[in-house]
Amino acid sequence: MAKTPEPKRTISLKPCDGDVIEVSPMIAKQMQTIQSFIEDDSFIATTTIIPLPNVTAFQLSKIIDYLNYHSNSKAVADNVKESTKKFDEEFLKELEHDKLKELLHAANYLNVKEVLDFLCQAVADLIQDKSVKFVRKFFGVVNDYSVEEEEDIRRTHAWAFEGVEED
Amino acid sequence: MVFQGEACKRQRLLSSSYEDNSRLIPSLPDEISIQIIARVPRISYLSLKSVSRAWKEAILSSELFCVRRELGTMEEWLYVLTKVNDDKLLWYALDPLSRRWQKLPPMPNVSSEDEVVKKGLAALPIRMWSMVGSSIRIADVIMN
Repeated sequence: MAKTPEPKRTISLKPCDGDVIEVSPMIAKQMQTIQSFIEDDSFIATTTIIPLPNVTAFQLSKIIDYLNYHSNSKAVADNVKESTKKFDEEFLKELEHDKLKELLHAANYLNVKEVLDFLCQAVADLIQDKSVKFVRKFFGVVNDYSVEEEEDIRRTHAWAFEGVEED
Repeated sequence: MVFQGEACKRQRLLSSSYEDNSRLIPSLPDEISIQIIARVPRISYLSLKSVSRAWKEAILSSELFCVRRELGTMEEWLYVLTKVNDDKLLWYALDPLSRRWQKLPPMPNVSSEDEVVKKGLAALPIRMWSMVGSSIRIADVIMN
């Protein structure tokens, strides 16, 4: 594929609320959805603002923060592991359950693998010790079992329900 | 396709074509939902099966284990068949990660005397070690 040299300019992203956010091409590249915009022949970096009707300014900034931090820390070796871990913990601390889930939706929409992987793990960590009821409510899953069927699963694996956090 | 890996690609394509209401998580493509479920420790699967029929199906699917293999989270368990007192056969499983022994449901058509069940899980591992003896080495291998 013939490619013109990467433009030095930033990419303008417009979330559904708030102002346009400028990102470097390196960050934009990690968002597959944006990448496909940029690769479009009619895209002109100087004038085109990419609208993101499914992403809020908060979500977009969080995703950019994550990518910025992690792309900067990649260059250095093991000694940054601790601070990366700290960054990740702080990153999640600011997110309530609903916000975490919505951020996952945004990362899915933007199709940014690094953030998706990270958030999938965060959600997995969140649900692993929770009750079935919590998991259904958290994800909005409708219980399609009959009372008898559910009781049957419970009985068969009674021990698996021990040590589950009440919510 | 968000996640690379040729091995499971076709299966993923199939699963992402589901209708909204049969999705694992209504607001997310199944591909992502599977990525979440694959990151949950195996020991939680027994209760997560009760979330919905789709969840149970996903948890029992080979697709999930495909993804777990890619993530390197296979979590192999050690299964031990024991014969307690009255010729009663019982399966136990050791999850090396949580170091928890679990008694598996009794096999059908095997005499079911509930007294052993009621003694509780705590006393069982010791008996099992003494019964199977050298299997400690097996457990060590699995944990490495």
